[in-house]
Amino acid sequence: MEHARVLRGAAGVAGFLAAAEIVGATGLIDDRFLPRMSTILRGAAELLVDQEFLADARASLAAWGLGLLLTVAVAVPAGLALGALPPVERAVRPLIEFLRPIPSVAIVPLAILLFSDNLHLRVAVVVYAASWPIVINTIYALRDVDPLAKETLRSFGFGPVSVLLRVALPSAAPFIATGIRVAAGTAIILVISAELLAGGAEGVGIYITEAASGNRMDLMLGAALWAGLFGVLSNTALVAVERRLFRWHDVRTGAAR
Amino acid sequence: MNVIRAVGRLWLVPVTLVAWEIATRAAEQPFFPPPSATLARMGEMWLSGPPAHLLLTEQAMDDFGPSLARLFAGWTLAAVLGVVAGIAIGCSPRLSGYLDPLIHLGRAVPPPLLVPFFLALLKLSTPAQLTTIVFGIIWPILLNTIDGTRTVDRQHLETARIFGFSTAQRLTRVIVPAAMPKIFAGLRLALSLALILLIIAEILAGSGGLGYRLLSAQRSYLYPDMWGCLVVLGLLGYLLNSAFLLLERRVLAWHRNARQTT
Amino acid sequence: MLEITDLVHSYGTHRVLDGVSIRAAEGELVCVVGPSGCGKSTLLRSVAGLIRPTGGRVLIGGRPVDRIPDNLAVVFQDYSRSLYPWMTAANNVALPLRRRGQDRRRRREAAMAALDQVGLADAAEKYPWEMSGGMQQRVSIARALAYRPSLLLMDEPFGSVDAQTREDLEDLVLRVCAHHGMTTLLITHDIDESVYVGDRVIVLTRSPARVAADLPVDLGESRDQIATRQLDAFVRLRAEVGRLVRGGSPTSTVLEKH
Repeated sequence: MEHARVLRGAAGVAGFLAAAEIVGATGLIDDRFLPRMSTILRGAAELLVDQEFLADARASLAAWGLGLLLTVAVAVPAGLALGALPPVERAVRPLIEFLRPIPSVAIVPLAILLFSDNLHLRVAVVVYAASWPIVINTIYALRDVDPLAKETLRSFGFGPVSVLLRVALPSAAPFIATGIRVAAGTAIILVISAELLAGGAEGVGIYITEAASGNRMDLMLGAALWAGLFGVLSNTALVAVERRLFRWHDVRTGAAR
Repeated sequence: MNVIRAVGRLWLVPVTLVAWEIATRAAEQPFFPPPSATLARMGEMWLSGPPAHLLLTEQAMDDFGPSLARLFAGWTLAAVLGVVAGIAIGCSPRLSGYLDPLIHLGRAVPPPLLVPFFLALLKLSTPAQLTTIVFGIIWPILLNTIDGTRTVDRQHLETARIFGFSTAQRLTRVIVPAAMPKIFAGLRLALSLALILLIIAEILAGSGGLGYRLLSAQRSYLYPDMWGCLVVLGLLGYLLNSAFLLLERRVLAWHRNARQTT
Repeated sequence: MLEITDLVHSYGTHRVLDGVSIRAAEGELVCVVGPSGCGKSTLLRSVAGLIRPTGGRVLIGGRPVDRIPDNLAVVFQDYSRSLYPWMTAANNVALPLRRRGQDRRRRREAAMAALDQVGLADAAEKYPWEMSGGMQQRVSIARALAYRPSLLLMDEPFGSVDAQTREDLEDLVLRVCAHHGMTTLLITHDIDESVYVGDRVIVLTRSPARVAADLPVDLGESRDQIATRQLDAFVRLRAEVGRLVRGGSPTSTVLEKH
């Protein structure tokens, strides 16, 4: 089953590449504008030995990783505090409901004013935008903790803090992890957006801008391809970590379904 | 009674606004104008027009008109493409097997990265903006539709087979309604994503619209204008989401109620 | 009317049906009873054409079942998954009638008549989730009735409702099946029910299923929830079916009558 799925997926990718190449070869599309598939793939391969691209990729990756770490460090405790203290959550909720719909990239112009350092700028934008899914997921997760489990522990004389640590946190953890995975995807988009909007010296966004001014479509699409592959890999890795850490959760929800 | 409850719920909003006002006045930092100044500027920019135009100024028309048009055009286009393709792929396990890796790759490409490419390819800003929006938001619609179509209850399908529904009936009376809750979830997600991509597309490939206004305000040191854009974008996002939820609740009344009783 | 001959079905190497033969005459209500998990549902799904059995033959009205027959209706146990929650009761009942080539007005009339027969004339515009389980199962039965099948299959139709509702539904099925002269195959794990409802009771053995016994039910045409269940014949037959379901062999007393 698994084998057939992989084979079919591979066939689909190969078929797509071949079809794109054939359309390109017929000359229907001027390949100065949309390069042939083989040219794009060659461009993507070239990027792997292009020192400039590698440095830019490293810079974007650093901003992404740092931003995500900081986001987790800020958003998880914030979510826990709000989830554990319903009166505070009720008071803050209207503010969250107004701030959250502001399209995250719209704060980039503001961030440009506040941060002269490009790394700081990107990290700040990531923290702002990627915190939402984690905070919201954490609040909901804590609210959904089985009251019976909490009362059981309380009846054995445990205080509220140990109830939070022993029951609420473990049962909320899978949802927090999902929030972090969503945040990781958001963070990629924000890093790139900030680089495109704010300019600067390094980053994949900068590389793309330069490739655009040189009219190197193959390099632009090659870089987009690598960014997409990175997104798929990081997402797959996070899903795998979730599965490993929360096997009990999968079993439970699987049975409920 | 309702008013009292609303005040009880919303008290932190005025408190924050007043605190913000006091702090910004005390700091006298140009990047952070007091909310009163922002509000005044918003009124001046957008709401000081003739009553015949509902007070909307010409600038309001220039800022909101193109943005809203792009937003809805992009969203509608992505919705039609995503739902139709999603149903087709969801109905055929074979097809979805072939396309799965491509879809996951497509979804993972950060859409802003493609704005320069679309701009170079299409030359014109509006087509490039629309393409950016459609490319960026089609994935959640597509994936949710595929998922919804694929997970239609087996017994619903068997009932359709037993009673000999035609293919069209099976599609319109069983599969699509059953997938509707997931489709709507995807459409709602896509709507908020569309706003984000609209802004970035207007900033990068700009020619009018709110994103363009936002950037030009920042570049011309018009900070109250810039903050006004942020406020209005937040409001817009909130309104769009609420309006869509309202629609969802009407269309999916059966779903909400069916879930409560089981 | 219905002829099942030597039906065999396996899932992989696991054999569930091992040469099951059942016959039902026109207008007969045959109950199939057996221990849980013995392959009753597989039997029903083979008859309905939902799965292709590994071996054997199913004839309905003399025609082999090679796809889903158009003169057959099914009432499933799980009404909440069989009715469409996005349609009213009337639309749920009327939708299959399109296949009969009836126009909208005729479909609507037929649906209302069927709902009336199951005592739900007032609930036509209600959605399934606005009804109790018993009412939903009545809609499901009405849908089958309106379709006018020559063969009605019922898979544990009363398995998910409370005891009182169950008795009402049993009487309802007895009444409408007799009224329409429909051939009915009712599958159940409930011994009392099989004897009370059936003209004949077929007992299946534990998996892989074979026919352990084919018992006629001599309780007359009209049945009553209280009086019938007190009859000696009912009590004896119930005990016999119970013994067979638990794996016993047929006793001579019942066979003599045959």
